[in-house]
Amino acid sequence: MKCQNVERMLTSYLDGEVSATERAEMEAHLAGCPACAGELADRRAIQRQVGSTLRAVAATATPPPQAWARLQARLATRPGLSWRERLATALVPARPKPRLALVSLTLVCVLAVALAALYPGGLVALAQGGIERLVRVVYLAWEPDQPAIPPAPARTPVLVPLAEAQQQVDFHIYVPTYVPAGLTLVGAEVVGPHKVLIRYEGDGTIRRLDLQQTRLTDVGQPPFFLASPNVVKGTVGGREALWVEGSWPQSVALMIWERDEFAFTMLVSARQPGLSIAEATRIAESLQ
Amino acid sequence: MELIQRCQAGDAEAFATLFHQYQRLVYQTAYLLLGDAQAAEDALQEVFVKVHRSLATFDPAKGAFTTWLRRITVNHCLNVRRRRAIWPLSPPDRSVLVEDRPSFLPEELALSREQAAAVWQAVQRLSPKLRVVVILRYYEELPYQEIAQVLDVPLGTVKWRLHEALQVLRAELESEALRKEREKPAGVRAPGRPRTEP
Repeated sequence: MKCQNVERMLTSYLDGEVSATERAEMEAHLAGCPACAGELADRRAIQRQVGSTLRAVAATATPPPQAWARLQARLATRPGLSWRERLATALVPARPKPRLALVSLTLVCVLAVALAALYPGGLVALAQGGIERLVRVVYLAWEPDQPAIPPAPARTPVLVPLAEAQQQVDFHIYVPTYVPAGLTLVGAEVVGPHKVLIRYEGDGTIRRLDLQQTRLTDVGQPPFFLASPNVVKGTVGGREALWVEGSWPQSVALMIWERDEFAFTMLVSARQPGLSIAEATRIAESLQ
Repeated sequence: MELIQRCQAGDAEAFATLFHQYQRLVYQTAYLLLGDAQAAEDALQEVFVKVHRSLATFDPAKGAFTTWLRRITVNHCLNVRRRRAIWPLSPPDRSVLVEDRPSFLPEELALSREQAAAVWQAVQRLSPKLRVVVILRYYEELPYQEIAQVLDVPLGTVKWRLHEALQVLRAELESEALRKEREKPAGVRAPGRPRTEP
C-alpha cells in the first residue's frame, strides 16, 4: 500500500471503519513508515480533541424546562402547518431553482385569475384597497384548502391613546423604544381580545408605520398573506423573520416575526427609498 | 418500539414520554450545529412539531427511530443555517465561549480551555456538510453506516467528508497555534531547535 492511499484511509482506520484486509495492509505499512505513523498520531490527537470538546460543549447545553409546555401549547393551537411554515415553504428563496421559478410563474397566473375574479375593477382598485387585500388574494391562490377569506374592506382604524388601549386588553402591548426620527405615535387600536395595532405617522420619507401584535393562539388565519419575489428570510432577536417589499402604490414593506406568544407584523408605507431592513430589524428588536 | 406504536396510535401521554426521552438528543445536536441556545430551543420545538405531524409515516422496518429523528433534526438545522446564510443581517454564530463555561470534567482536562476554545471555533467554521459528519461521528459516535442513513448519502461520501473535515480542522488548528506563537513576546516564545553557532 502506498503512502497516499494510507493517508486517505487514516480517519476510517482510526474509526474502525476499514475491512480486515485493509487494516492488515495499513498496519504493515505503518510499521515501516515513520511519516505515515506520525500522521496517524496527529490524526488521532485531533479526533480526541474534537470529541472531548464537543462533549464538553454539549454538556453545557440543556433543554429549557418550559420546552414541553411550549410544545404542548403549539400542538394544541396549531394542528396543521403554521402560517409561518406555509408562508416559508411557498415563498421564493433568494436563489431560485428552476422548479420554484415554474411554481412562481404558476402562482402569478393563478393570482391574475384570482384578481380578475375578486377585483373586476382591476389593479387600480387593488392599489386603493391596499396591500392587505393583495396578500389575502395571494394567500387564497396558494392555499386552496383554506376556507375562503372575503377581502377585508378598506377601513380606518379607530385609534385611542396607547394607555387606553392597554387597559382594554389582558396582555402587555409591546412598544418600540426605537423608531426612526420624524415618526410620531398617533395611537393604538384594539382589534379584538388578542390583537392590537399601534400606528406611527411621519411627514418625511416614512409616511406610516403600523405595528400589529397578535396572540399566536389567535393566528387561525395568517396575520398577513403577502407573497412576493422580494422576500428575505432572517431573524429578529434570534428568531425567524420574513421581510417582504412591494410598491403598491408607494413603497410598502412588511416584516413578520414572532416573540413570546405573539406574532408581530410591521407594515411600512414610505416614499422611496423607504425603510431599510436594518432599520426595521432595529425597530423590531427594540420592542419592550 | 412499543412507545412509538403508542404515539402513532395518538396516545398523548406516550408522546410526552417520547419528548422527554429524546429532547436532549435533539437539543444538543441542534446546539452543536447552530452554536446558539435560542436557535437550538427553536429547533427543538420545530423538530418535535414535525415528529408529531409525521410520526404516522415512520416505518421501523426502514431504520431506527433515532436515525429518523436525527435526520429530521439535521435537515432542520441545515435549513436554518442556509437561511442565515442568505440573510444579510444574520448575526454571526454566537460562539459558545468555552472560557466562560464552568470547568470541564477532570477527564476532559487533557485539553486546556484555550485549546478547547480553538477546537470549538474551528468546528464552527467548518462548512455545514463537514460539521454535521463531525458531530454525528465524534459527538454522537455513530458508525459510518448510520451517518450515511441519517444524511441519506453513500457510505463513501461519509468517509470522504470525515477525512476532509479532519484535514481542515488540523490545518485550522495548526495555523491558530502558529498565530498564537507569533503573538507571544520573544522572551516567552517556546524554544525551538537549538541553533548551532557558527
